Amino acid sequence: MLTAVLILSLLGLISAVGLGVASRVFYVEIDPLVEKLTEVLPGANCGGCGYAGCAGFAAALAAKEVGINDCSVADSDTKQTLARLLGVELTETAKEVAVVHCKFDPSKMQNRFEYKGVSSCKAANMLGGQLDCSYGCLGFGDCVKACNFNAIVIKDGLAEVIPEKCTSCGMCVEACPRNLIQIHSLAQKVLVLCSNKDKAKAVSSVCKIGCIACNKCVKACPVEAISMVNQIAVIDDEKCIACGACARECPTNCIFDFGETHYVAQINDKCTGCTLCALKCPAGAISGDKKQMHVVDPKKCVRCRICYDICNFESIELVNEEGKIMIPPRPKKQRKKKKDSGEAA
Amino acid sequence: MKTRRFPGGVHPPEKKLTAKVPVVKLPAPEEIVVPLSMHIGAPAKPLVARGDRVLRGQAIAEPGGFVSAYIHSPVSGKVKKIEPRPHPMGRALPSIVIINDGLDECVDFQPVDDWRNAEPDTLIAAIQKAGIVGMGGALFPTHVKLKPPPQFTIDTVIINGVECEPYLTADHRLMLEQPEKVLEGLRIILRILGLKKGYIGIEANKPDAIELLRMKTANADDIEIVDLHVKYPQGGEKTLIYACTGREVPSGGLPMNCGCVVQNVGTMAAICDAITEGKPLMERNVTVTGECIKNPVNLLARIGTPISKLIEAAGGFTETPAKIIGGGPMMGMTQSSLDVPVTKGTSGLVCLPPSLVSTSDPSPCLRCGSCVRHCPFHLLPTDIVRLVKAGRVDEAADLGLMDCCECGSCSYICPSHIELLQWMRLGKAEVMANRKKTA
Amino acid sequence: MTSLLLIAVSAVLVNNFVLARFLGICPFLGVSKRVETAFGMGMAVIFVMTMAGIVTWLLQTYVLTPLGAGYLQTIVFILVIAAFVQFVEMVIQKMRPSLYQALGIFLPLITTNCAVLGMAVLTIQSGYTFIEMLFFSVAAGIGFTLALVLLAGLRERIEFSEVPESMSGAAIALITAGLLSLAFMGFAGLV
Repeated sequence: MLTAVLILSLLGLISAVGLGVASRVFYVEIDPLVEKLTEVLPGANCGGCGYAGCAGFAAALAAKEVGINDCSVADSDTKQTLARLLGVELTETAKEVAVVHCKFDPSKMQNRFEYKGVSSCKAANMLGGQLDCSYGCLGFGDCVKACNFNAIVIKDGLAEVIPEKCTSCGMCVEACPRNLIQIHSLAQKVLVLCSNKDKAKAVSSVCKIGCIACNKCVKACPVEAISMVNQIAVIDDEKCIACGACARECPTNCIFDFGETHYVAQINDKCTGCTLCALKCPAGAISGDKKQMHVVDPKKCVRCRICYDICNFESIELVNEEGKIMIPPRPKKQRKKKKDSGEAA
Repeated sequence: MKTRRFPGGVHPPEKKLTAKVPVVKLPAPEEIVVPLSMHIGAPAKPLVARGDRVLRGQAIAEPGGFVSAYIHSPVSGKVKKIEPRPHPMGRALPSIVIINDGLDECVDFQPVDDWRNAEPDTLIAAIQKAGIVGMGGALFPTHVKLKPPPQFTIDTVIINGVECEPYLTADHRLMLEQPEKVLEGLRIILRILGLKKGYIGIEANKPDAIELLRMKTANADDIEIVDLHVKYPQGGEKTLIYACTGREVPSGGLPMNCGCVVQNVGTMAAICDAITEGKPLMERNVTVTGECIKNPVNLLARIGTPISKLIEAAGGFTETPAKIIGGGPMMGMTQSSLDVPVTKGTSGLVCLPPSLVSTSDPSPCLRCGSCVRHCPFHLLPTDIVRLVKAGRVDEAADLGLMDCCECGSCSYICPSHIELLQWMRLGKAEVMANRKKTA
Repeated sequence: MTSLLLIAVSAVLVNNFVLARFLGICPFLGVSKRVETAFGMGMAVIFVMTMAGIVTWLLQTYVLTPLGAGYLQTIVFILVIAAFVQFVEMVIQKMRPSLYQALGIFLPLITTNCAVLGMAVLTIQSGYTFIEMLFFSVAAGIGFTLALVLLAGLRERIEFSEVPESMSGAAIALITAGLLSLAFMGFAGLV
């Protein structure tokens, strides 16, 4: 028994000393922070951040080359954890999603030719695309293959994004050979879903719901957020107030309003005449003298709700065409009690 | 000259239905649509505007870059508009639309005086002014090819009279009907490059052309007619160089890397016209053929003629075609509109009935190796395509993807009907896009 | 000399540790996705096998047997192998960080790799001399590397083949490994 103990102890000692020396000689500096960050990150390795994978992004985070918000896949809990690990403040950014700017009527879109070949949008596009419209979605699903989150599907030959699953990583944007997909904030509810850059006659001959650059939307917009670029209407997301006026005016219905239903504003007799709503109205639809009851011109009202949000006297309600109140006035906001600086704690 | 057989290649049925049909001049149509992009390189820039009157032979567009070409009006008339029009490459591209006034009023053609003693640079300038590009289909601006960078010494000129594509006979008829122009064009090239001898390669399935040209050069020691074994793609410049000289163009290289210049016979005739008559490139031989064409014929058509007119001149269709191919069935581009115009590279229109067009869906690869055996450049189409399908284009490029000349032999021979050529094209496009991104 | 060559050939081909003796299947299937990683693992195993072989042989011959402590063989051998594996791990982490990442958990698992312990014990059981043991351990390592690299090469090619979905992944890998083993049976009777 003594031999056993001696042999093992001696061997153990020799190994320990040997390994101890070796560990000094072959010392490798590893940043434990990078490892912790890699563990916390989603691990999808989607490449949306531009780095070769979550490990690459973690290393860049630790080296302060990128910000936490550069990972569009991480949800807010993950981002909080990352912020804690890095010891930084987290600034919230609005959720963004990809949008496919094409929504032709599948029952009406014709094919120029029957395509037989590799089932890929890139391949079909090299031959000019099988659709009559040279700009529309070819429906072979290059974007679907590129998506790591199953957030885009092909329905009736058209690509459609599932906003709940979309992480705005941008892989689909790159994959589309016709550059139909763009990233928008989820708050952007009004979208122009056509990418046809041809002139009106050419557009309407291939698709009845294409943008013909008639400029009606440009005239209708109260905040000049929409303009014609290359024969298509383009909305400036920063300026847009999502009133939906352009979508209502568009003769071909290529502008889609995904927001709630818009109702006209109406002022009731609680109005104190503070003129705040008249000042803020982008369409100039409210008129009235100071301290007198104001009036909304329903024909000019663009239903943007700016007055509704501003009025603190429960005086503005939203009504439908028959005059029925659909949304009652916003309740008065309680003023926050200010702390008296001189008061004892 | 001792010839060799290049490795690989396939033997599609020759189907030269129009080999014995003389060329017929097609009258110019009422509306001519001249694309600004019918050459390798930057699209040409218009020199005319809407409403201008143009004469036949007048330059209506100038080169848009170093590698680009002049374009001339094939008719006299008025410019109707300049707008995107259907193009043989698939998408609509900017084109100059001219309404033909039927007068065929020409500009003053200016031939080169005494070309035999002219400076090579004068001749090259005349060729450039005439808007001549490679008429075999590659459409490379000829004046650029004839002035290779100084580090390359050219010692061999080979004229391509092979026409290995099934159905096409445009070059064959040109050699039979205008042999003097072809020979004169070659002599002009020899003068430009400072060489004493040139070769014309012709496939053995054109014995009449070989005999005629041999007869015409019987007492000349500056031109030799080389008859070549019939195999597709003998007419590709790299296989042609190998068959005639035994030299291999290095991977990623060009014929000038091994001292050779290759030109098409049609380009020769165009050069002869430009130098001796001062006529720019305005028309070309087009073979209208296929089993559903009533009277297959070879036409001399003006650039910009809609192909519907050519089909009309060939008697129309006997049945609705399944495919109308611009070019030959191996490398040509299927057309989706009959409004597409004839361009400088349209060698033929092959209209195939449904019975001759395969509609099989691809099945999994058998690893049979047929594609490897038949590739003229020793590539591995099966592995390259697998890598392209898996998105690993860089590894595919390592296997030689960029050396593929897109001859289509692999797709033709594949028993599983895999679209090998289309995948190769997709892979090449992706490699080029990646190179642009990192550049 | 012939007997030494016979030992070597036998260890590499006829009685290949992985494909004939079915030892070391864990890294065989776990590290054979890419040829580069497989080759790296193979080199590590050759080193460990050789060094461990030498030390265990010396220990068995000059310490354990004379002192009648043959019962300590298993634990002593494992201790020695573990020490060498830890050493190799440190070296690889320093010299080839990418390989270290690629091998991941399989590097420390060489300790419990039955191929290494198996080789050490087989040497003693076969009663090899020092030189014979040397040839045997190096050849065993080479045989292991060969099997790994072969399977990795095959799996890389299978990766972009059109395998039916129900057979893809582990299923086709195991079937291929079985076929590889079947192929190696062709060496039976060579020595």
